[in-house]
Amino acid sequence: MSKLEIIDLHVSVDGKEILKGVNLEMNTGEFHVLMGPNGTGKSTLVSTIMGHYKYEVTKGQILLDGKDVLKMSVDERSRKGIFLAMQYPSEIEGVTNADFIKAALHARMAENEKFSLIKYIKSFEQATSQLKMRADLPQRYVNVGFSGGEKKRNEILQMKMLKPKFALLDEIDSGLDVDALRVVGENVNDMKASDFGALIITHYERLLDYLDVDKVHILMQGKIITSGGKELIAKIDQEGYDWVKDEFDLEDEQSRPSGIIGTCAVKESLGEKND
Amino acid sequence: MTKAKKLFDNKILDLNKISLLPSTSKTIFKNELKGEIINIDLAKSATLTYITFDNGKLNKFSNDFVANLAEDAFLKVYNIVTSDKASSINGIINLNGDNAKVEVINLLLVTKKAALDSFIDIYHNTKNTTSELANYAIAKDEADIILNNNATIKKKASKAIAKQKSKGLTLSTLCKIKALPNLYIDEYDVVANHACSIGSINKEDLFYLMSRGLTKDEASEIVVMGYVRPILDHIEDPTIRKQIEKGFAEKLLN
Repeated sequence: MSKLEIIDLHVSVDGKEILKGVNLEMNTGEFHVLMGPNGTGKSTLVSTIMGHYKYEVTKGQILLDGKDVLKMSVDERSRKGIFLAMQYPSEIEGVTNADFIKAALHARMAENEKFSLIKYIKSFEQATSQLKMRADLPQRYVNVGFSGGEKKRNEILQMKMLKPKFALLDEIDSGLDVDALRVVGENVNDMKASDFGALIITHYERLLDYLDVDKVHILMQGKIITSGGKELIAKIDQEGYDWVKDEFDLEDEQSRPSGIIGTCAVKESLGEKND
Repeated sequence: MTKAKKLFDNKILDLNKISLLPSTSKTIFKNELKGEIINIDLAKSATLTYITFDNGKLNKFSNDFVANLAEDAFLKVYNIVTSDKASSINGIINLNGDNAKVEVINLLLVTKKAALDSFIDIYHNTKNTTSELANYAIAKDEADIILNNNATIKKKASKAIAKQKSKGLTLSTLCKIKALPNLYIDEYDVVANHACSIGSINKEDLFYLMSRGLTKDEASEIVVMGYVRPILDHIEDPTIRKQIEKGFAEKLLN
């Protein structure tokens, strides 16, 4: 069993503090869901765990099995077992999916380990068929010309092939039609095991219908305000987030003083861009 | 002059001249050019694929050619460089016959302190002629690449099409790529355009690749090879393509 711990994490972007003391602990074998209104820092949290260059950690710790993740480079974090399925995956021209995943698998192999091409082809074919992806996928360039739904499925394909300890799924359900949502949901759920856990960001209950969720966390105003079980999902789906504000006496973000950028722009928050 | 000497002289002349008869087609590959001017003559409806490859083995690779195209002739030129030594490309292409067409692709990787000067000069001398020139340049270390592109559309060369495109990728803060596109147009009814973009590797792409476990160097190599591979896909001969791919991989890693 592995453990991922986030301790009093403070993160800033361009000098603006987005995360203001996040605490979260998860083990493999668990599925955690992170919910919250737009612009509260959910994507900031998962991107920071992965090591995105834009985010500056000003305070706090991220530990993977007791080891300091913040001291690791992005690739090292990946090789240690962290995987981020991105909201907007990059398109890489000229690199086929098959070659890309092969290179990523090579990168995490031990020095004397031998790569079995036959095993690789078999598991690639099995994963693409389970995700009901197009047969020409291995030859297609990574995400180039993919629809929004295909890109999301491709992220899950990479996750299945790379077998991380912890997957961070950033709105993996956006852009998916009903059938694709079921396929993705079932595939993620099938991975749940004693050596795999996931932190799932979503706005919708539908994806969670397919997942065996253990804990739900609500992130608002840069902090995890409350955590609970699946009952929280249903409550948010029915009532939104206003009750959280009332129950935990949160100040309305709209009423906070505006920051002034330059002389002709007033910005109240980073808004959806930072979600 | 002895008979042997005469034969030898003719051979030299033959080496520097590529002539295609009407309605014939051919692919020619050259990887050792030391400054001799290659004369290319394409007769009516002839098609030539002319590939040059400078892999940095020669101290001064000098790729000079002059091409004359008759009616309906089609010339495809691939100038490929993977070098850490000074080199140059000088090409003059005359589109002399109606419907003559030329496509030039320069795929250039220059490393260390090397400088590369490319000069492609295309003349649309008659109507319905087409030229497409694309530069894909990658500079590393302290390399310096200059891309001079000229297209001249002469009077009465109506319905001519001249396109120029330059894409540059800088892999260090000290390297330089300069694109100088020029279109000289003396006729009204034509299509002529040029486009240029030069920049470093997209940080988001690097992050994406690294988030899958590839080191920064491995990720950079993948991005660069990804930039190169779609262009190499145009080269049909697998042996030549493999040789060129190897050249890129070697120069990128060193």
